[in-house]
Amino acid sequence: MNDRSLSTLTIFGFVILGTICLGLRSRSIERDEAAREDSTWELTCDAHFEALNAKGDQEIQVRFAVPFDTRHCRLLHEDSFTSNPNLNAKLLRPNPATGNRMLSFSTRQAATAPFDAHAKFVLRLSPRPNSSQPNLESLGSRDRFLRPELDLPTAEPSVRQIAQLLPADRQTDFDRLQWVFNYCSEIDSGGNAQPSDDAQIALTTKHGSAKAQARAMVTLCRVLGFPARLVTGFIIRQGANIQPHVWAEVFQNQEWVPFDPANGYSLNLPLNYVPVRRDATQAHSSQNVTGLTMRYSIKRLPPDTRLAQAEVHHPLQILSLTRLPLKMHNVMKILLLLPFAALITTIIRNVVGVGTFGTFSPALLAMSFIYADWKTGLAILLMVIMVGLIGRASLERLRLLTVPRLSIILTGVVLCVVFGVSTLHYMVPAISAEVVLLPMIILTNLIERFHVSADEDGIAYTVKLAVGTLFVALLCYLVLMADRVGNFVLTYPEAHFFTIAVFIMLGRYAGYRLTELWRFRDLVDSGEAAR
Amino acid sequence: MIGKPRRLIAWPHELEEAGVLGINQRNLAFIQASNPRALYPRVDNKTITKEICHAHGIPVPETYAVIRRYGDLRRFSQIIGNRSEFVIKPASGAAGRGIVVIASRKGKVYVTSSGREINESELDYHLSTILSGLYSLGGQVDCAIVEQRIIMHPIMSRIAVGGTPDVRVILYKSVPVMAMVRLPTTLSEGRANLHQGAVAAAVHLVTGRTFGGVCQNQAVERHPDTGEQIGGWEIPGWRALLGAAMKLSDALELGYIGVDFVIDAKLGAVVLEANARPGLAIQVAHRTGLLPRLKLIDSLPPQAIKGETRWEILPRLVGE
Repeated sequence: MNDRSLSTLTIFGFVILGTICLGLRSRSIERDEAAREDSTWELTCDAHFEALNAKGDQEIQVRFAVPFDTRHCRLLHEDSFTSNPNLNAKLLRPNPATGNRMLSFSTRQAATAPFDAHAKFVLRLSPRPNSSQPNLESLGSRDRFLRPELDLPTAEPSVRQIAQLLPADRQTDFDRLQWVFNYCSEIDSGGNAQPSDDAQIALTTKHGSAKAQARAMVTLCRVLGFPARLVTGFIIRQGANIQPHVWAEVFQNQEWVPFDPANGYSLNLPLNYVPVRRDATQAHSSQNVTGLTMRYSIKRLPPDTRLAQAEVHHPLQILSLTRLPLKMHNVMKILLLLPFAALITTIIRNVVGVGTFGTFSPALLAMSFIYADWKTGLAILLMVIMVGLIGRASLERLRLLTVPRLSIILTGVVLCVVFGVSTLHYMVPAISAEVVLLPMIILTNLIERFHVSADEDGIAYTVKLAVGTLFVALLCYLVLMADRVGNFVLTYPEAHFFTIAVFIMLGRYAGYRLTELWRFRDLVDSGEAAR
Repeated sequence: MIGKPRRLIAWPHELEEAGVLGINQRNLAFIQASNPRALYPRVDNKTITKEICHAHGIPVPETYAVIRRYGDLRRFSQIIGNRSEFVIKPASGAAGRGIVVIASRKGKVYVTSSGREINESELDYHLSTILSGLYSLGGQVDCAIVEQRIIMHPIMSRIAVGGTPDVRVILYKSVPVMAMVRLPTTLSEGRANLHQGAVAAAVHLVTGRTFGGVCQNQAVERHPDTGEQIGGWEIPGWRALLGAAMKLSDALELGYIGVDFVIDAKLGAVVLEANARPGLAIQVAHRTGLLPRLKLIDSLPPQAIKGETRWEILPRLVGE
């Protein structure tokens, strides 16, 4: 196998290796994240009821609403069981108009004993939105969500009067909705009397239950011409006796926007709001039954086992750099960004063709500027250049050997920097001294290189190199400063398999450098002249 | 080219058509492929190059002394004796760095070829900086060579300004593929280094006559200082020079090299140094690329590029 195909093979190897590692680790990191952030809950519904007519000539039925899958909630599984073998549990098809799904318990058998029906729903809540859930929903018939209903008295003159209160300066739809929301939020359930569920009473007296607030909001919206509906659901939290909660949804900009005036949420609801039934104020329905009691309880299920595993020491954790203490992250990030700086240097030198002092001194120079902030870095740069130039010019006459001469300049620079830091500290007490360490040594070395090159290759050539060095250093600085990229490589250091692949490609690049297009331009001209 | 504005850049396909060898391709396909790293010291250290030349009867400037230790510095005046003309150069220096040419002396004061006077302690200092590695590749500890000063051939002195012109021959697989003569200018401060502004003229491989020219990567016809036509004269002893280049290339066993000569008035062409990474400006001087010539040599059978048969390839290389 020749070197060319071997290189191509190696490039492919690294790309495949990088892809595999990145794929595996991103899935594992995603799962870790899910284990940390997601929560699983068990919603239990218990119904206790008797048949209205013990003869069994009518079908008796109790239905539980099944939680919806939303962008932040997923129904993992459901389970049902009953006390009476004659009671048939069945998951009904979604209602085409509302999308509601019901779990039905029904029987036609005659029975005198009371029935018990139970259902369990396991839900997972996640803060990361599930993008497969559509954001946009269809409205269906617009009129359906504008008409009066039994509990939504849109035709009542007192309600219409309240709608007239909407200030004329509310220009946009959201402004108007905000006013409605504010109005309904002001309805309070306080006081001694049992608050009413009635929308009209709530609107006129500003006193009512949470359900009344939602109904009031939907009613007002419909009066003002906004399609609106009620939603029943649960606010997920651990509890033995949880009541379903009712809130409002308004169709706006092609989607149903939630408002919960009772708890003061609009446009976005907290993650733990899980709708179970739309266009209704109860989480269940029944037929031909009597003495129905419903009980809802919610239990937090134990977290994912991965979370527990994270507590035990495991050698594989070495691969995860993000687990390191936060203090180390910055250093690790800069180290991990250095290959990118080297990549830039390689491209500028081998593909563009700009010369620099040394191969990696631009990258090191840039790194030293990261350790110091750029102002301190610039101050040190100027100081080192000044001391270096003055020092070297005056030492020239003493005729010293290279290393001792360099050491004297370094000592001079050290003294200047130390007293510079002391001066800075005198003026601004909060300054750290470590920041000056790296730039100083790198710069001192560069000064010497500059001088030798100026002596030997001429000042024009040297200035060209110096400009090239500064240019590449600036590019490297920008790369090293890229925090987003830094965070990415810290999480996925295997991304550098791709970097190596790119380096191999650059290492096999035998094409012209950009500067050669300029350098050899005369050759082409004369070639044409010859033709 | 005259009357036509210089274009800003050439497109890659145009350079390819012109057969221009770029740095990346030179490094990958020629230097890396045919110059084993282990043999680099043969060219990077001039003392070794000179030993090889001696062993194969290739003319080089006579070595007076090699100074390897700081202790030897004290014996310097002893080494020099009463010589008034000599050259000090670092054994591993690159691109003519650290070379001092002493043309005459007044007692303890030495006068360089450019007329600068330096005393013994200054010379001492220069020698010690050479030993400390200031001029060597990678800054390694070096040694200093004290050798015979070359007396410029009278033909050369006509077009040389403030320094000695040298002749570079580029050889691939020990066959000369291109040659040029590099002429110092005021800009290059007497050094035959193209980086610093020296002028180069192409040399016809078969006839040894100069033509074309380049200065600062720009095609030129005349010397920028004297205005003298740089083309149209003949390098003295051209065949001998090429013969020496081939012999040295055989001995060095490096596939792609540049050999630098100076033409001494008495000795003729003597080897100054060899270079394992010769530059590419020679192509501009020739107004043609190296690639077609290198490819031609690659296409030849091994026996055709050995010994005396190599002479027969030269006309084909220059397209005759």
